[in-house]
Amino acid sequence: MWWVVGGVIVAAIVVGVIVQQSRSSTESAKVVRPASAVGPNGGVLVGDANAPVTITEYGDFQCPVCAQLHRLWQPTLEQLVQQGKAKFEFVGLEYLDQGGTESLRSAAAAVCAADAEKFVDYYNELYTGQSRTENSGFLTDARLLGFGRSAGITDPTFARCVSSRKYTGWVTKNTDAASRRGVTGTPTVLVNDKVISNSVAADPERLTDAVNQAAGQG
Amino acid sequence: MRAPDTLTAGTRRRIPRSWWPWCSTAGRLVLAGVWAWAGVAKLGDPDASVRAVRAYDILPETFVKPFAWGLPFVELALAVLLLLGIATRPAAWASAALLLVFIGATVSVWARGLQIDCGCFGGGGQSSADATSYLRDIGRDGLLLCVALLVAAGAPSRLALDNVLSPEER
Repeated sequence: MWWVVGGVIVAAIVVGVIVQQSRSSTESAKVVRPASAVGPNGGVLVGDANAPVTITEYGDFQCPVCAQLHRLWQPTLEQLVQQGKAKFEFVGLEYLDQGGTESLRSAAAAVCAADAEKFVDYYNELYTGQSRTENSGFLTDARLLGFGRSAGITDPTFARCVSSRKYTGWVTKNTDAASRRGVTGTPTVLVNDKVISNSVAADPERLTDAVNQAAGQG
Repeated sequence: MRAPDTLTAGTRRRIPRSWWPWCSTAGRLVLAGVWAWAGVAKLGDPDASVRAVRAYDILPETFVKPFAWGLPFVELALAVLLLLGIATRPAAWASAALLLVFIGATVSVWARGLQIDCGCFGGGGQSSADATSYLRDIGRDGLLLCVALLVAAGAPSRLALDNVLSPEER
């Protein structure tokens, strides 16, 4: 009877690989490279491209801890970017999608907002307007467009970009790349490619220290 | 029929011998249920499965996708074998081996201080808060391992196709 189980297991693996590969969106993603500024990890870049330090956030607009971090570090982040000490890269991921596409479409919409040169406002809108429950169907296309209006986006190409899912392939590609480089959760924050803990990122003083230190090493 | 050894000296009662095959049947059904649940939950998002396997940071990249994509189908196959009682004992040994792999992997991420969600019943293996619960996962898999060993080493099951297909091999 051992051969039965052995054979069934081997067959199951072969069938599994064939079936799941055909269903994987990473395998079939149509990747459109954004016209807006793209950072070293495929994220949207904010601030002076020549700033010595890069702060990278791997985030998910459905992730409550990301929204919490956003609330805590936003003033410091803006200050560091305005002073030219750092540039900020946001890589939107689809980690929290379970069955749905809310993380995916919101991250892609944020890239559309970057094309419309309103990324920061849109990013702020998505985090501050986050739903309390994940995968609840909250982030419909209509709501993503509504956030766009609140962020002051009037460009009609934004609506087309969101509804045509222009950048979902890009987000899928970034998500896969993030997983490959060991990003297992959101938010993950890097300063010059080195992971810093979320408690450091959330603390204005320690974040500034981390940036100054990285600038010193640069 | 009542076996003579159902009562031992003193007040401790043993499970009557005639019940053992039914215990095996119950064990089979429990394992089949868990494998079916785990398998179906992992089917939905093949990309999340890949991320979950990668998050353990154990397998080399070449083996990540075959494992992530093959696993739910292996779980479903084991569920079917155990449910119908086909090749019951080998299927139970295979279940025990798979559970040992899961326990080993969980111990490994715990020991390395990684913070991930097990992805046992779907999901992408990422944990956004400190809600990792390795001990619970290990405890659950340990219990299931006991059930699998009971089926693998115990009495032949009732209500199993094995009894019809190859009674001599039971």
